[in-house]
Amino acid sequence: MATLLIVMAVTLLLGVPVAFAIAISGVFYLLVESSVPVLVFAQRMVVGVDSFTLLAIPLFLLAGAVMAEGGITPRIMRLAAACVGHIPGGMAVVMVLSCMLFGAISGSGVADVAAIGSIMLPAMKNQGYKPAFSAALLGCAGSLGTIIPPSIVMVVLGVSMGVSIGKLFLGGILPGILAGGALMLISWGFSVRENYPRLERASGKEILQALQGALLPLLTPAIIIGGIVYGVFTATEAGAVAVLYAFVLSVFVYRKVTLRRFFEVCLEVGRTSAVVLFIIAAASLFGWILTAEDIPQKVASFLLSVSRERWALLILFNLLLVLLGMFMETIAIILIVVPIFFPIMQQVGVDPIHFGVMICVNLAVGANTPPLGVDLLAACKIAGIPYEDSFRYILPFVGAMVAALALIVAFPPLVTAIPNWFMR
Amino acid sequence: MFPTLLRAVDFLIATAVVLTCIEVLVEVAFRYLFHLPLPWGAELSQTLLVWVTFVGAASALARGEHMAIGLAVQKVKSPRLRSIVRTAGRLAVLGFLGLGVWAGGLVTSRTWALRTTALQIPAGLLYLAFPAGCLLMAFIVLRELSRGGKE
Repeated sequence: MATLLIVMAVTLLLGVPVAFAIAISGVFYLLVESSVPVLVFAQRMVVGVDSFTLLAIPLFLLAGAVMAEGGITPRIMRLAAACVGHIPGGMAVVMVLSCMLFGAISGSGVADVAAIGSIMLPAMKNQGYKPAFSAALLGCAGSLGTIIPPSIVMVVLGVSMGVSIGKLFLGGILPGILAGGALMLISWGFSVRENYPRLERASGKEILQALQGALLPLLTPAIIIGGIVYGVFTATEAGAVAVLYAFVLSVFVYRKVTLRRFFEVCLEVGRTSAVVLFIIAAASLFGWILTAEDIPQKVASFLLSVSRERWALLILFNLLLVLLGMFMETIAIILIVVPIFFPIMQQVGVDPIHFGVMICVNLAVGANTPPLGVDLLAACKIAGIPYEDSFRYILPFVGAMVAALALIVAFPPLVTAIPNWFMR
Repeated sequence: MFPTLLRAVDFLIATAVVLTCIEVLVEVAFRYLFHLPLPWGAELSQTLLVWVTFVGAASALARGEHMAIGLAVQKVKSPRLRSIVRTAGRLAVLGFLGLGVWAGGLVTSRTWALRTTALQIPAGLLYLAFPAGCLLMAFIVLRELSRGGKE
């Protein structure tokens, strides 16, 4: 176990990409400490991604990317601006709401950051917002994309925990709104202090027009979630149907995407999916080694000897995830940590859907905590500022998300009420 | 020659993504319109997914798109030391990829004679994606190494 962690830490420090660092530590372990033939690692890595459910990852990413190419971002922003632009810090609050709306179409935090940020950040800079402030807010707001359904993180959670992806999707709705509300509150407070401008209040007619413009794209989540919840299709199939819908909208209705451009988007999505899937391949090798070494049982008996109190275990688990979130990528954490903790949590009576969504919210925080904060880093790249500049502003936003997380941990119905209502 | 190879790889990745979408949609259509399951559907799309993973990882590596913690390396002040640290990291990756080509090749050859249940293609075709991707990535890392410790 120590070998695995040391090799991983050293390779990460050498600047080796996360996926490779995980895979290298696994292979090193097999070479040095295990009696299992080394070539097993090749087989494990392939088997780790040979799954029909994981096909949902490229499909959801493609649906979001095609939608973004189809020019839906301005439509969503217009709607958000009409609704909340008139309150102090209008643009900042509009950005959070835009990220939430786009999060209901795309399944990835980074995609959310890119789609909203590339249009919103320049506009905010023009209005006098500090780029480092906007980038920090964008990173956090964008990470809501993985909490608000659909979500590729929840697809991986569903696979890893063996629970219904539809239920996880539904369970993410209230927590996503809660975390978004917390971010809006903080940006409102900041904007009052810094005297950031507000937008003009939209008339009822303007709100209606904005709603009309964004209506077709915003039907996407209804198709996906409705389709899964009512058993019309699986999560993977929902992804494919969403791609078809996005394709029709962008190519034929809005006429913004040519077939050639569509093919290019497919390539970009293939590449982004490969980055995620390669991490999954490496993490499933790592997880397989942990299981072969009986680590889950050892951790379980240790933890249960410390405490059998549900609250103590939940707090301990969340602290561990926050810590891991600083150094590790979301999906790798899920594949490695969930198999260890899920059985313990079930033993002490934690609801699986509550547990899954809680992880999702926690790791959305992790996507914004340096050194490895994937969403924050993406936001800084788009803002064109050094990564370190955003650290000054990130704390209050991360604090707001942690507060939302604490509420979600403490009150399970925040997660389970909606899925229990729709799916018995 | 290398850029041409990468372009060909990119073309294959995009085609695989398009095919995957079409396949899953056709499967849904067959189930609802003709009440027919598509026995080879999942097998085909999963094989494509595995190929997109490992060949796509190579395409992403060539463009530096894999997630890494860059802060530690950037904190190293001396350019010479920084280049040594980067080279050490790349050698570790290269070692892994070398093992990957070897182990993946063995797994592929051992499973080649087996046929898959629905498509009746060699089962090794699935595993071949791994050594193929590792070989491509090894080329990319070697090219980076030959250019020295630059970004």
